[in-house]
Amino acid sequence: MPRIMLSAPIGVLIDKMAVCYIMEKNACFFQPKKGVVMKNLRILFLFAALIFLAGCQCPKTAREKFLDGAIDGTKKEEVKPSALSIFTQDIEPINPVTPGTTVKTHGSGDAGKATAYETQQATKGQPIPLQPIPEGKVFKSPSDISPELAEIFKRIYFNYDRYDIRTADVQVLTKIGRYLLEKPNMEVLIEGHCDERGTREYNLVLGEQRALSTRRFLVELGVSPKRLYTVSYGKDMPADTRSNEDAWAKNRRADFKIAE
Amino acid sequence: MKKRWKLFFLAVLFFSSCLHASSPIFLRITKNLQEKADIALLLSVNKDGYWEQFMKILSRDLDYSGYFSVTGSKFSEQLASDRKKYATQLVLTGRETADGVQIDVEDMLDEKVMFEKAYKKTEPAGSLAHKICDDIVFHLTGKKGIAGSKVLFVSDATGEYQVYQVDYDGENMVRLTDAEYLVHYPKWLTPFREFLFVSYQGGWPKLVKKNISTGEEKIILAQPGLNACASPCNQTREMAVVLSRTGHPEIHISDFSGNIINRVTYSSATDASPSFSPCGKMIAFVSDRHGTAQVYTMTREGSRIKRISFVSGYSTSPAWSPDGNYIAYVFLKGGNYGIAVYEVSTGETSIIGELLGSEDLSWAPNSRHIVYSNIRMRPSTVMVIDILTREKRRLTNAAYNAFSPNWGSD
Repeated sequence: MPRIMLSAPIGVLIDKMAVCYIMEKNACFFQPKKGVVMKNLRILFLFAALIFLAGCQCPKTAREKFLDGAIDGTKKEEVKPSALSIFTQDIEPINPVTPGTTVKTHGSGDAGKATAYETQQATKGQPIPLQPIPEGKVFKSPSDISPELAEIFKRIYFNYDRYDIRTADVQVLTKIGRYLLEKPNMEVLIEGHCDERGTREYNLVLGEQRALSTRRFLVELGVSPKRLYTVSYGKDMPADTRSNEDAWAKNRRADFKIAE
Repeated sequence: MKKRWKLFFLAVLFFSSCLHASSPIFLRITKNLQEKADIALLLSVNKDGYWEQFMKILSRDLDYSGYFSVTGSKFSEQLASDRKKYATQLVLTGRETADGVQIDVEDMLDEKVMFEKAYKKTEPAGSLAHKICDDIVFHLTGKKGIAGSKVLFVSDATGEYQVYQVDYDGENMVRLTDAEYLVHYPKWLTPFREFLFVSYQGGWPKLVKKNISTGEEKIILAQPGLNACASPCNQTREMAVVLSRTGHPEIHISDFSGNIINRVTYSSATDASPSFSPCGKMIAFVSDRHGTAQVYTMTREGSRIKRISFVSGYSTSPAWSPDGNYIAYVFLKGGNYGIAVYEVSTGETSIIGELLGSEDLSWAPNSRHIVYSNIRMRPSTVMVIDILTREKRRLTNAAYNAFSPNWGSD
């Protein structure tokens, strides 16, 4: 079965759905009928083999999937070396540990990096609890801070009614993740947005899902979730106010804001 | 065996005669719910501005109720002769008394008085007309009237989103918030005294309770992440909300003070827009757990999940009717939005309209009208539709965007 999703929980969900579908389609095999028992047994065996195969597809990390070249149906050779580099190096030691310093491996850990537990949760597809935005914290648009930040913290886009990260944006997020690992004190607000189609409340939740899947991707890269805040504006803050495919594609997005 | 059948028929006859005796007009009106009863208004009063406005509003209220078709309204000095002109229908007569008005509704065909009540002239003409209309509707149909109800909505009339309140007929629009932050999704909590809304004060969406008379605002849910999609249930004093504090949006139940009682959903899918049944035992909600957004129902504990929407590939905004009989939802088909109504007892679905541009539904207290925002109109407009006659009317004018309506009843 082709894995078409990037984020682990969705990939797993698709697998489960496929199994459920097969089970529904084959529900009648559990009611033996005269003359078709042997045939059914054969199909049952095939069905069991299918379940076994589906079960073998354990959730993979973004890095593993990326190295497989199976993200979003993209083949391995299409990946540019620059995008791949973040996955080929070890996530933890971005900042080289100088001899004599203490390295925390448990507990809250380095404020800037995800703990081993947090990264494990992210790669397992488990939700990573959110923390409230501290009172008085002000977030600015990267372009208002410096051209360098604007170049790194580019907005990413989503397909209609989806919140999985697109292959085209892996490079952008990888760059952001790498930058955040180099700046352990930088805090980021991820804003999830939707296009004007769909009802308002549903879009508010969809926008939150987009912000959360972006956050999850960065946590998988080793960024601490404690400095990644999320907010959804649903369809209330379109980047393009027109009502056409071009505008909708621009509005289904996640924006990044940097804490002052 | 024959005896048993006889007994059964006798019981049915007895039961139906009881119904007939208590509310004969009810049977006639509801015989075909799309038919309206003709009614004429005759007012025998000292004609002045008050009574002119009263006549105009009462006439409109009866029309908007969906049960009546107003065939005429006039000030009459000779009630007896004027009444005879309407020999085959209902006639509402109003006689001025020392301190108010005596209202009678008579079925001219049967020469039977269906409704009679004296009212004091102690309030504005509009309020008195609303009260009389609601009394007549309740007396004749057994259904709650809507003339005294109010609708909350969001508008950008001042250039930024604020919450407004408007009477059910589009009159008396009042701004209820003066927020410096983005505010949204108003929901009546205790009509017409308290409401909830989502405020982005502090940078993320929190749930705020506002008292209209005192103006007091209190943040009741400020969990990290999303605090939105509130659906209050007045019977249990609980509300269903969507929170994403765990790192994933899930439906929770809290009390009216914001204390979280339990988490309802545990799916990795998007679960949104919960709508409590009036008894507070069931919840309708939207989920993309099977690929696309569809409407489901479940118990308040999250069990017995059942999909109820099958009309298109995208169905959202479920709203459980106040009488508990229906769940209305929005569906997207062929690029446009329509409204479907699912009948809980039979499982049957009726398409109310396909080209409505509808979004964010809310039921009227009579479980017959639905308010929605038409997002195809520019600017977007709050509309009301009668699910039986399919008649539509505009609630807000076209000068500004209006959306996220919520209809309340006291």
